[in-house]
Amino acid sequence: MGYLILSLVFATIGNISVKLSYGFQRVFPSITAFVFIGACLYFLTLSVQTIEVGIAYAIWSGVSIMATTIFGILLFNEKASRRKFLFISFIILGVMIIK
Amino acid sequence: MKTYLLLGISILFEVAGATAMKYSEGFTNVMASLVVIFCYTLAVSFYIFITKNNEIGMINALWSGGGTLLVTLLGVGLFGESVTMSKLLGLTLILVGMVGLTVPVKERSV
Repeated sequence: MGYLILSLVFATIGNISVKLSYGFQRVFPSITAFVFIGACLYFLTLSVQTIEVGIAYAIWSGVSIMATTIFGILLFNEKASRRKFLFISFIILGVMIIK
Repeated sequence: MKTYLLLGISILFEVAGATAMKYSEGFTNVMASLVVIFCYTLAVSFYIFITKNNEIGMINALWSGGGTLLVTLLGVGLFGESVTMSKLLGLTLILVGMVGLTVPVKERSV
């Protein structure tokens, strides 16, 4: 469970870096985006050694989509419409059911 | 339109990377591990380009959802995995969510 939480923290920071890199215009966030997403995948792989793959992925994708949406709204002034929340929760639910 | 084309390419590399990850057996198979790194590097590069002018929250949801959708379809189509009710329900929900997020809202004229 610890690895999964670590992976989620890296995923969230990675996604923030992705946005901060402004399409590779900023060097530092461009590099950290790859480092954090790499770390996130590494710890996700470690976590599925102890947690069942289906459960780990379901938790991981659900939480990372939610966290990315929330940080997009908080840090980058992205829209917080009801429509957006509705359809993103459809995707989260769909991913969790499949995995 | 260009955004969704790039997103499609990015998802394809993500799916290829995820498939190779299964073969890497916890990064012990060197060749498969290199394919994982190559595919994910390209997938993330495209992802970075797309998020420059688009919302990270929305693109991330489409990226994850689209990846899952494709992996599930490939599993059924290529590897003969079972078609279950929960898979069909999940695929439908993802599809509805993706269409709902990407189709522009018609502004109601007064």
